[in-house]
Amino acid sequence: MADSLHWIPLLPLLGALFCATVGRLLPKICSGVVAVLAVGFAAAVAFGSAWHVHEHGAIVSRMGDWIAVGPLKIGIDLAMDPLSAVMCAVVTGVGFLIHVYSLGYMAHDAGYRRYFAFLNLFTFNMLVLVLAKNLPLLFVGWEGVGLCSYLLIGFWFEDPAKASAGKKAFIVNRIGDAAFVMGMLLLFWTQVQATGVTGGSLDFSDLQEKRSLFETTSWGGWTVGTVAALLLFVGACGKSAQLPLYVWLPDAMAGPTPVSALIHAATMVTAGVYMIVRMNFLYTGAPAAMAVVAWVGASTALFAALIAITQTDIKKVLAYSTISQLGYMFLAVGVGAFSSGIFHLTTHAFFKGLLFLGAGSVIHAMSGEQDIRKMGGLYRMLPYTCCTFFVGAAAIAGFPLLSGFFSKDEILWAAWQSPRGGPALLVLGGLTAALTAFYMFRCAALAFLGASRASEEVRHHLHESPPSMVLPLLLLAVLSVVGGALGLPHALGATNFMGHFLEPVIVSPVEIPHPHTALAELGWMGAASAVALAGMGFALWLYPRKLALAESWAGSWRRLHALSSNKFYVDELYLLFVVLPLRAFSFVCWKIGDGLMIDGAGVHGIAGAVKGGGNATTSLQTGNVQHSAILLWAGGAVVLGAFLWLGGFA
Amino acid sequence: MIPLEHVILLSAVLFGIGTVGVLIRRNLIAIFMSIELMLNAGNLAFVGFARQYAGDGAHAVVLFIVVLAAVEAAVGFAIVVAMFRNRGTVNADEVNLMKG
Amino acid sequence: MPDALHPDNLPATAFYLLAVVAIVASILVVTRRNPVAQAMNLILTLLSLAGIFALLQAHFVAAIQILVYAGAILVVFIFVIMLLNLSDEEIGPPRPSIAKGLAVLLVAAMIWGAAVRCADDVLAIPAATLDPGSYGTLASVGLLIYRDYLLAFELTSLFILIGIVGAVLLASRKVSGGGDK
Repeated sequence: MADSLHWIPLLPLLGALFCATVGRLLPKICSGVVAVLAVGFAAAVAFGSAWHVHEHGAIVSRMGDWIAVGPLKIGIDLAMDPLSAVMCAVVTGVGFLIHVYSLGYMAHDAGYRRYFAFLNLFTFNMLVLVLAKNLPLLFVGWEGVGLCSYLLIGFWFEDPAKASAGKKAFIVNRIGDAAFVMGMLLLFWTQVQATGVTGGSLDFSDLQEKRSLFETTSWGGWTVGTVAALLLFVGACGKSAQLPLYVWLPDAMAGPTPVSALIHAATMVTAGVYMIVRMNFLYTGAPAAMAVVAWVGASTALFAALIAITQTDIKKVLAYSTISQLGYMFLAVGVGAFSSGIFHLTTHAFFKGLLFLGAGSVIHAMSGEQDIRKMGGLYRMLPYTCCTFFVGAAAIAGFPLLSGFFSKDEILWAAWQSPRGGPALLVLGGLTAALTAFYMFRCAALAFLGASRASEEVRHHLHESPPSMVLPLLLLAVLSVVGGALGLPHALGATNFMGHFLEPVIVSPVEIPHPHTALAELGWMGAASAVALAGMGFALWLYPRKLALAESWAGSWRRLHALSSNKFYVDELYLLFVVLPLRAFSFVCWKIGDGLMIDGAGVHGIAGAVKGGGNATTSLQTGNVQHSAILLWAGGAVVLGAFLWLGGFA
Repeated sequence: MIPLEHVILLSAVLFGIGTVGVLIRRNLIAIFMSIELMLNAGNLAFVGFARQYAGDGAHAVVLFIVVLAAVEAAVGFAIVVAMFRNRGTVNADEVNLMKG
Repeated sequence: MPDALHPDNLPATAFYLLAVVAIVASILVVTRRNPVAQAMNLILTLLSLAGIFALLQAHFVAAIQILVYAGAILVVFIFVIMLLNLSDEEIGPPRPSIAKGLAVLLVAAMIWGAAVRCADDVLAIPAATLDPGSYGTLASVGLLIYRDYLLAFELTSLFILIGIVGAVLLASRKVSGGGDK
């Protein structure tokens, strides 16, 4: 398995090429099956390689040079260390289930082959991202997933709203990516400054060796490490939907629901977290940057949770919960609990994938209806979907002993006890935890419990989804339940598998004190459970039977309710402070820069000058070749004369 | 011993005469002959320098120039014949389809 | 001029004689009105150049000059001249003298500038000694063509083929719609 590393990304790429080319000539089911098999085999190789990494240590695979300019060599080098192994397993594993699910979900879509081509292409790019051995190659995958995200959000591009949602995602991501490139170049430039032009390298292992250089070199009042870490974090904010660049993710729900599950929950948005853990040596040496990461993460978590409370679109609730959970992950890595962040990333991939696929199943059954106010009572018609959705909701809410419970627990503990953390971060995190439990169960209860509020016609068409959709749901539900086993705490008599596995990757870990006694740890877990259970219980008490009460509360705090349901007017603020000024600026550029200068003076001016000059000199064009020959000779004479006048050969 | 200067001078003079012919004659056939003169002047320069450098690579080049002259004459006269057939003249001044 | 006939000076003497013949004949090529007379003078120029080539030890080139140039190519010229059988009217009036004078001046200035002014810099090359047994012989040029310049030589055949096809096409087809008179 050690030497087949390159097949992990290559298989989905081949699948994508197949669907995009040969697949068009074959029955469409061929594309679907090939795409599923490509990811399936990639998953098999990934799991085999991960096992090899676990037993024998990291694998490196060099596939040749990508950029080779003088001393600068950037290779197409893949490496699988424990961190990449976990990411690969998540991407291919969850990705495979979502591919299977898509077989059923997209069965009747006209763009079936295109869909699977994009989905495979996305998987390829994500795998390049997590397997890359150097920053530029990581950036290739980073941009690639952004591109695929754009393609898949705007998958139904006939609808202008959906097409523009795709563009929004692309543009917001671009802002972050620009900062990412700057961070990358800053790291490179610092090395070149220190050791000459041969000394620059963006290989992770080289960067890691030179971390003291970044910590000691000063750049504009801060260390290079801090500035670069912050720039890279801005890139992560764009990709992983953190404040203030999160705005694209809710709109990204315009894409097909399995896409939301794969890209906007399980894998792509986690790239930012992955990148920070990958660069942990840089971040631990830059406490200021880490504090920013932690605070942005914690604020995003709470902010998104507050919005999620009042959303009525089932996918929007899940989208904001994704942003909120990503905030948790950033909180974790920001306080130095890198392995906890990855642990939560993994469990989150399980239950968020499950929740999105469940939502997709509901939408599929409800003939496209996404408003939870018009659902209700679905448990009778969609028993599997209902059960698995509740499992996912319980997992994300932190119901004791489910996967989300352990991972969230670790993060909250780290936020409190880490030398980089503190009580304030714990309060933000704890508040978010309670809100998460509340809004998830509000959503689940409104959708599945109580009496049906759907129209007669929709109710008539209600049906449980086909096996290809239900099976992934069941598997993900099982994973959501037992996924916590990857990181069972010491108090329950286990070793923290994830923590130990990732230890070689974390170069200079932040020491986070463990609870002194098992009793203290159990007490801590109890407190966390109590918070989660309170939120859940409150939601289940309120919904769906006391809808009227909820309505009246909303009425009495109308301002607050409006603030939340209108997403704190962030989109409007962006419109006012970014989009409109930009549009005005563009208008000026268009009219003056483009219209007057480029078109007027440039294009038309040059064209006019040429035309006038041409008109003036047409009399030279007699059509007589000898006249042309004379002019040619005269020209030669002028050149020769100038040459001699300037001194000839001497 | 033949001095190189004089060989090149002869080549330049022949080239100049050929050029003048190309420029002043109206008869297309005369123009072609003048072009042959220019090509031969070039050949002479090649051979002269080859003699001086004791490298006979230029002889092969001269051979290629002869081939070029032959092909040029064939195609050129084909054009002259076609033109004479269509327009009844070989006067270069009356061929001005390229007039702008 | 007894020195001119000394055996050592014989090649140089021959060169100057042939040079004078070439120049005079080429001037006649350019100035004569009768195409046949032009062609005859061109042959004379080419033959004297062949002699000069031989004096410059380019034996094979000299042979080719006579066989191909003076033989084959000039036959094409005379063929066309006879085929068209141009009358004075068809040849057209000569150019005015002032145009001729201007052209001669321009060209003379160019030749003077290029060949005379720059000559000292370019021509300061010491003469190399030659191996009279092999230099410029058929054997050595043959080796050049079939070994060193083989690709160019093969491409030449393609070039000739294109020339033949082009010539046949141009000369055979009636061009329709031509003429702006």
